[in-house]
Amino acid sequence: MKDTGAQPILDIRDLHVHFPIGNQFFTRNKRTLHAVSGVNLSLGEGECLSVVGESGCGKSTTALAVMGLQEPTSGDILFEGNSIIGEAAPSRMDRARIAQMVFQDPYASLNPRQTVRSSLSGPLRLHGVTAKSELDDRIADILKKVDLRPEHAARFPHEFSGGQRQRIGIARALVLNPRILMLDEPVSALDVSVRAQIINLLLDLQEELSLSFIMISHDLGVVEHMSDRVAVMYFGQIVELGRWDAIFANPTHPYTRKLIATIPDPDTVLHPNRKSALAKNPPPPQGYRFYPQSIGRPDVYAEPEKSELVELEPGHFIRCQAV
Amino acid sequence: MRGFNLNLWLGGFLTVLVIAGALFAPLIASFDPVFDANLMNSELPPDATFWFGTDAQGRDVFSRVLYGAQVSLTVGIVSQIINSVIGLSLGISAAYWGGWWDDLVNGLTNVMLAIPSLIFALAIMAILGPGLPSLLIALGLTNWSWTCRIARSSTLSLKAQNYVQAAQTLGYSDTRIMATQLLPNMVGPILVISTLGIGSAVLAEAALSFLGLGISPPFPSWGNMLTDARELIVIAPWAAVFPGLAIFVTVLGFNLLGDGLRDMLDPHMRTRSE
Repeated sequence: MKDTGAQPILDIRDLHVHFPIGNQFFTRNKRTLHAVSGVNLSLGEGECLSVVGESGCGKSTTALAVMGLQEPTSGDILFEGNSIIGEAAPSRMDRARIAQMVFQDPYASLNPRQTVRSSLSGPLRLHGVTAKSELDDRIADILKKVDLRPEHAARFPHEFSGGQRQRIGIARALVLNPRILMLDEPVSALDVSVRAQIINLLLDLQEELSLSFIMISHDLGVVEHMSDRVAVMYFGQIVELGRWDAIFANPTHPYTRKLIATIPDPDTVLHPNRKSALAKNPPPPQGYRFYPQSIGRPDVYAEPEKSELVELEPGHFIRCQAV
Repeated sequence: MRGFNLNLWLGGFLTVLVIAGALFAPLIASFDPVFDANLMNSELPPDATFWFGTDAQGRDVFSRVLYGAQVSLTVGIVSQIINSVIGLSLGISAAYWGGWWDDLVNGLTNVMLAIPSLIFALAIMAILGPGLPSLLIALGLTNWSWTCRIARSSTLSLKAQNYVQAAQTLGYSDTRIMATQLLPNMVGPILVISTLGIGSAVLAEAALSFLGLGISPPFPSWGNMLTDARELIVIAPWAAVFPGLAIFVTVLGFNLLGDGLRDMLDPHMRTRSE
């Protein structure tokens, strides 16, 4: 865990993303889907923050809002103290140097009609690198960083394996030297044998280029390995937030406990306490009850009830309702 | 590539034949298509001098068919280029931006599909008057709806691809994304629909010229050659048969080429060469 006492590099404040559902012309009962309801998150410089949760919990929508690909309904996102959404939003060109994304599916994330070279030179040219020698140097350099060879630049995406394509995707994300990398399930589409390589590559790059990571995942093994802090999301809200060791050793919210109990654990010898610890639920803090109380299928069209994040121990928050 | 793509090769051969005929008309034709009229030679059947015979004014039908090919191909290709530009820019931008622009373009496309394009072209020709430029405009404005439909549906499926999102986060403007990320990934279907469109534009030009709204006599186009030959169909059938055959060969050639391209570019028909 790095020191996050200084100003966070990215600060998400009370983010809401709602989607209107239903055709305006033919249905009168328009409903609103609450994809993200009041997310507060801050990302420290050089930190890896993981957002975990089941499909549809709003983690990807949060990521898209940070990337500027989804207009939030309300709330604010600050980069180094300056708002990057709404009227204060920087241009697409300026935003490109703030954050870049690594996508889950290495087959859909590369344009099949562009060689690696043109995938990488396009953004560089756009951002003012036009001299051929400098372009060649930058491309060779970035390919070396992701452990690809310079001669790979002339090839098309279909000539690569999944792991190599993901390296190209990482190279493209890093080519403009962004400060933040958004990792959307970066290894879940890859062969198990390649996953470790990509994870180690990402960790090396984080150190070498002093990057900050936000990782979206439901692979808790990867999360445990890579993260400094973990945010657990459930139906548009953060239900538990804390350092990775606190989340994995001492999960408190019923949803987090359920999530962690799903990790297949072949070596119960090494973690003798994990299974038994998960069996008995800890009580909620004094004067509160957990929110949501039951883990089922909440109504995504309804406004969530009023609740708050209660600090259990320094830096470890859980979502509760006052009683 | 498994199997022999007969459509592609036959269509390509016929298309190249017609294009070569048009390009090299001045070298191949032994007579001037307009000024070598000689009433002494009128309505001669095909022989060694006049390969396709002569028409009522005694002009060589073979030479006129060759020069007519220049008109037909110019009209076919240029009007299809206009159609493609309109259809692609409307279709891609409508699907990419969505909202009211998409509704508007969709409505316009449906209207265009509902009006028979030849009738619409007739109306435009009636306003602009006969001649090559107005023919290009009339046919270029009336046949873009299928291109637009295909561009729109391709864009809808492509814009969900991550590389389009990646381009946006890398700072690409919307128009640059359309030009560099979307357009290159739909060349296959667009190429197919365009070759089919050239065929139908050639037919439409013939129909408009036949009705007297296309190329004005005495300059040859396949359509006005048919008009002239109509009255002689019993006495000198060759004056009508050869321009008709030329239209047939050209339209068939482009349609076969379109079908062949579709087969060739269809990923399910393609096997990796490696």
